[in-house]
Amino acid sequence: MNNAPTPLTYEDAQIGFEFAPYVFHVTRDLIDRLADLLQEDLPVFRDPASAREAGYSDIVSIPVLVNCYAHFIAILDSAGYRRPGESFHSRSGFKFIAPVYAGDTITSKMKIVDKWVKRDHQYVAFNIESRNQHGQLVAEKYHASVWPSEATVRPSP
Amino acid sequence: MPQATSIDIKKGDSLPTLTRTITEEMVIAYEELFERIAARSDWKASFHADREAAAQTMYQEPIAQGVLTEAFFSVLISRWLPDPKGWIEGGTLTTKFIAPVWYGDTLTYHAEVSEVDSRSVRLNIWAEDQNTKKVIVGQASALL
Repeated sequence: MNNAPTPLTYEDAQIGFEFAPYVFHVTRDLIDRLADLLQEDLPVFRDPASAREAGYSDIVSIPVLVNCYAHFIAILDSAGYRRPGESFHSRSGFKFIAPVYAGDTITSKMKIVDKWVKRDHQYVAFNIESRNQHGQLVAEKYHASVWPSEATVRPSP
Repeated sequence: MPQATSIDIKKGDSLPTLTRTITEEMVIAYEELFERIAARSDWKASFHADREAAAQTMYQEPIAQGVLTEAFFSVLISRWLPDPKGWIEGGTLTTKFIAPVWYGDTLTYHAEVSEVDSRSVRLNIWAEDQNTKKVIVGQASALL
């Protein structure tokens, strides 16, 4: 692998490869917009007073915000790769460990953990570990997608 | 939606269902919220939000993002728990996407208690479309 901006094909994907850390700044706007989109009205995600009453310092992000601060496309992008066109999400796994607040700076590290072929489709799987500015682990994520091959992305001339 | 109390929870219990219609506007909003932020250098609408791009895929029409459709399980579970802290700080969610979700599909999110003890609860989860076809299946857990 190299750091040139290039599609990460199935053939390029090496199990065990670790991408450069990706840094993301969480904003209040993002937290609110996700809550709006999901129509989530639980007070701990919406109202600072209720969140403090529940023991938090401010409103908490809905845990699935991990899909933004630990987004595999963003991590590919920051490491000089890009998603190779048509790749379809197949499986997800999440472990929500600690609250994430507006103002947090989250650093995510992604690793290729598996690749396989099943029923004529090729798959690549990633694990992503995210920590806040205090070094505290906040979430772990597993993401597997149907992944294009070199022949699809780079057709022969 | 009524919240559970930990002593009430029993194996086989069903959570109150959650229903959401996945609209084109919702898919585009999610794209703007997550995909655009993520792909900083050369962002353009993906096949989820761009009908022309979708026409080139095996589905030929736009489908909703898996990360959008699965996110509603978080709403379903956090609302039901006695304390959402057990989801925010100790929840797990695994999902498998088994059928595409199209613009306008109405999904009903289900969960059933598969195991429970004094500290945690495990759930079998699934989402069905308006034709009762399962589109997502998986498991979740939370601390009590």
